[in-house]
Amino acid sequence: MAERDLAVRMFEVMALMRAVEDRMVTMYRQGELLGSLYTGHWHEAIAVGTAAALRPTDVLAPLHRDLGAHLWRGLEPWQVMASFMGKAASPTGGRDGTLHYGRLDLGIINPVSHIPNNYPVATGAAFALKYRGTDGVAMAYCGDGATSRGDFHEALNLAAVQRLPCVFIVENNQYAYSTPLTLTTAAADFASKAVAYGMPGVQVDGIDVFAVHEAADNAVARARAGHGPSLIEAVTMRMHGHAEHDPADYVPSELAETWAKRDPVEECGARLVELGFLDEDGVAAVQAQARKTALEHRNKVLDMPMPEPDDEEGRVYAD
Amino acid sequence: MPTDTAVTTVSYLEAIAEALGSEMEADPDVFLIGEDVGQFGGAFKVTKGFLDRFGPRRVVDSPIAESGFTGLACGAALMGLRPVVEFQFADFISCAFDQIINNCSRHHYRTGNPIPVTFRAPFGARLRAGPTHSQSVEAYFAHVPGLKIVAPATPQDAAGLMISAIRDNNPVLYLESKYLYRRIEVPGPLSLDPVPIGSANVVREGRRVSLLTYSVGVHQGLEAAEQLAGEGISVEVVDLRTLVPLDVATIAASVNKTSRAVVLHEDARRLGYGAEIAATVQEECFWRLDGPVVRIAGKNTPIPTSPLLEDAAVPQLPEIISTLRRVATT
Amino acid sequence: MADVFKMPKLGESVTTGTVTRWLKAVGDTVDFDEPLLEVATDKVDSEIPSPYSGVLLEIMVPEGETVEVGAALARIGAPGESGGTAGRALLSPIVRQLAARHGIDLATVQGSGVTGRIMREDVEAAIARASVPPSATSSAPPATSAPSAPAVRLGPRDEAQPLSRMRLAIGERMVESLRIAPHVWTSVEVDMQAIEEVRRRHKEQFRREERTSLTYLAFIARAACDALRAFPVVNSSIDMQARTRVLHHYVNLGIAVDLSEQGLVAPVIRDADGLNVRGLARAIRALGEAADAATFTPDDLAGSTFTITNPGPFGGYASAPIINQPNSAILSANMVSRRPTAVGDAVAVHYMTILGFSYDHRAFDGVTASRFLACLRDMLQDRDWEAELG
Repeated sequence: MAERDLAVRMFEVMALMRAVEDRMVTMYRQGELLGSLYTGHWHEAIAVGTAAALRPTDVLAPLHRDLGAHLWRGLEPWQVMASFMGKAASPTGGRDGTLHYGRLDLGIINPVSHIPNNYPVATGAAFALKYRGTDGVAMAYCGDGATSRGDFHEALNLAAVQRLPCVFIVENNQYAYSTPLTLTTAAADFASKAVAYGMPGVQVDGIDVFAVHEAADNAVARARAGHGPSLIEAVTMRMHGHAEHDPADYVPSELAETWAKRDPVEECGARLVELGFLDEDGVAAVQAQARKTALEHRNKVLDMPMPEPDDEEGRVYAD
Repeated sequence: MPTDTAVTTVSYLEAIAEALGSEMEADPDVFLIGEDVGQFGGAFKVTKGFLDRFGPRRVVDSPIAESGFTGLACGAALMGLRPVVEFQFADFISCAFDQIINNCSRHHYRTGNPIPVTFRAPFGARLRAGPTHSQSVEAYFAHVPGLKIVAPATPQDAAGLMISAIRDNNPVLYLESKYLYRRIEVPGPLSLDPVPIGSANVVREGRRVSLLTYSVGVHQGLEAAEQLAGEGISVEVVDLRTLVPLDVATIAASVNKTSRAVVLHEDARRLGYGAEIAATVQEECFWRLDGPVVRIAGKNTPIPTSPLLEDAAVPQLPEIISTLRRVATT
Repeated sequence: MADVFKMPKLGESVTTGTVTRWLKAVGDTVDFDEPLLEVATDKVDSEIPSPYSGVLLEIMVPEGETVEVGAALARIGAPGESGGTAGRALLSPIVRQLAARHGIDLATVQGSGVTGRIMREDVEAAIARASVPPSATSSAPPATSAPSAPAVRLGPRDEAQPLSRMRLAIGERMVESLRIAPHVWTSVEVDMQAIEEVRRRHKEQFRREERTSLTYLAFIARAACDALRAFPVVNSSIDMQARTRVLHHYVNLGIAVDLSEQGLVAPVIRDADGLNVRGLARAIRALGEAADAATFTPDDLAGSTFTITNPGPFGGYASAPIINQPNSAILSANMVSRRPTAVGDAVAVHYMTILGFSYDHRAFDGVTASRFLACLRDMLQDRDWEAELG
């Protein structure tokens, strides 16, 4: 994709992610969702910048703050809303909900909440791509909190020792629910943990979609060339609570205020203007269109039917 | 060296190896992953020679990372490969519990995408291997929707069920009996026809009491039945072969015929899989029962190492015989 | 009354025992000291000899079960006693279903389970028997009947024994008596304390003089004879076809006597109502001797007007005997045991007994029966027995 087209498309998807999540926050407060709402405010650059480095035949294993990656791949906003509403047309037919959506046909693996279970699963996807002799890549996402569990370690180790074409993204948004970074790890950062596995690790500014994209490009290229996995730590801030029910009072207001000034969508828009890819009206138009799309998808999903029990035990096994 | 007139025998272990090798030959998407499965040929030598035969792409020596390689298998299976995962001892499957329960077993229900993975787990006691190398793990996993569980007792079934497990589009937990690996053999050659999952087998017909069992219990049951036949007590031995899904029709037909059911397994009694079997028999056959459904099972303790202690912890032939006799005549 | 054998304490700190093997089955004869079962405890496995002689009537604890020391294991007593009810009472679903479907009366089915329980196979055997056409010998005298093939399917653990002439005769008579006479059973509780005290005072001397025990039976027989004189209809014989009742102005008292568990006969004490307690005791002794020597003649066994059966020491709490035709009633004298009873407003422990009374409802009715028994009771309780014996 040409540089301008890529940049504009990234901005569009980031804006859409923001608009859809803002719309879902409103829907949550209007009582239209079934349960909790998890959003990725301030994760837009990470979600989109990384996904944009992949081919359609590559595979992703994202988590709950990576809506932009799903949207990049072709998941429709109404499908996400349907998942949070338990609708029959949700990606899981209502059998799962909230953030547990994905579409294997788009190369997106549906996650579970036992994070980072998706890390070893992504290594398996990478294994399969390599096994079949393709140069496909699998990209896995987790947050700072999830790095504390064994699956983080086992996946990185396995991928490195088997030289699997994996890219591991750690979205360091500094809080795991109410647990601050200082209670999650004593290490200075996550990127340097990569050396323990014999793979490269880089830390990037998670607000800057271009920086994220560049790091992702490099990691993907490395993996495609058969040099094995790498780790990208993208630093941002979790601007909303863990979920919408969480007021996140435990975040020091200073920290929140500092990071509030660094909105990745705004910064991307400004950068596009700087680069002459769009003018300010163009940027505003993209965002307005995103909000319009979000509302249209909401209206579409509201009237969709809820699923009825239908041979539930028969769905458990594949034929 | 075998001659034209030599009779070849196939052991339980060899049957597994033969079936595994045959499926790998037939389907290029089948690969093996586990600890020491390649270079070493497997801790029990089930996969001896496989690395040379199939190469390192298809026979993967993993680091000690049960959760990691189980998750890897799930991801690979989602992409259409057919992983066969070996846990060196069934006891270590607990390290992968999270991946099996949360990623693997319920994935198809949630998404409609199949995960065709086979988990091989050498299980069971009687080898003086102690509490962390002798476990029976079927009870935990029988509870989980989305898994299938098989436990062959004979070399023929070991081969047939391995083939079916690999071909099944669902995660299948394949429980191989360490105790039976080299202890039983049958005349070759082996048939490599798949044995259907979900099908029990009446290995000995009888009239007086039905013994419902699997794995080692089948062999104990046959021996007990032989002895009791001399006392005029006719025991029907039903080899369950598959634990999940349970072949309720065969079980019910047997118990409806004999009116007495005894369940036998090595696993601890409390919420061992026999509890599910007993409850099912009670539901299906109550009005035809001549007495309560009885379970013979291991003690509610970990499996001890020292011989006399271990022997006392798991069902032995005298107890099986006297329980069958009591049920048949009281 | 049967003896109950309980789990022995086989060691200092032993509190439970496991029955590992029964060496006798329900229905087997057990002699004192004969090995009865094997028991395992924490400390030791033991073969347990029976402390009682009799028939193993009921096994309460099957093989493999563990019970506390002192728990009831088995009942040993006289043959043909009503016992083993616990085992028999357990009717499993399949047993009920088969019985209902095939019209089998479970009361007539023998249980082959170790505890006497009716098992599926027993009902199946009964079904098979029911489908066998009745043999031609059922109404012929036993002596001339040809043996027919047994309807019970014999398994490797079944042993067929031909029935004796006496067994066949008793069987015929019992069936016939039940068939022709509508049996009603009633009973009365008697305080035997006074009689017991008289017995105690006199028994040593009596034994010396008469070479036999002074038994309760003698007192009961004596009181019965007097009560029969007061209620002649109880001492009658009924002939429905002739539409007559025959009153007997004498009491020929039949006393049921067991013949070494091979059979039961009721030899007759003629003109028993002319004998006092001592005389009756002598007569009863004589019958016992004749039974031992097997010297009864047909005359000895015929002509009774009333019969007393005396399970006595082997007896249970109460029993319901079958009327000895052509009598109109039969009295059973059961176990005398010490029980609490009301004396005025206080409770005392007295020697008590239940007299059972089966009567033919064609001959008389319940009021007569009750009054007869009340009269009998009052005589036993109130008569001056000391005077009679002294």
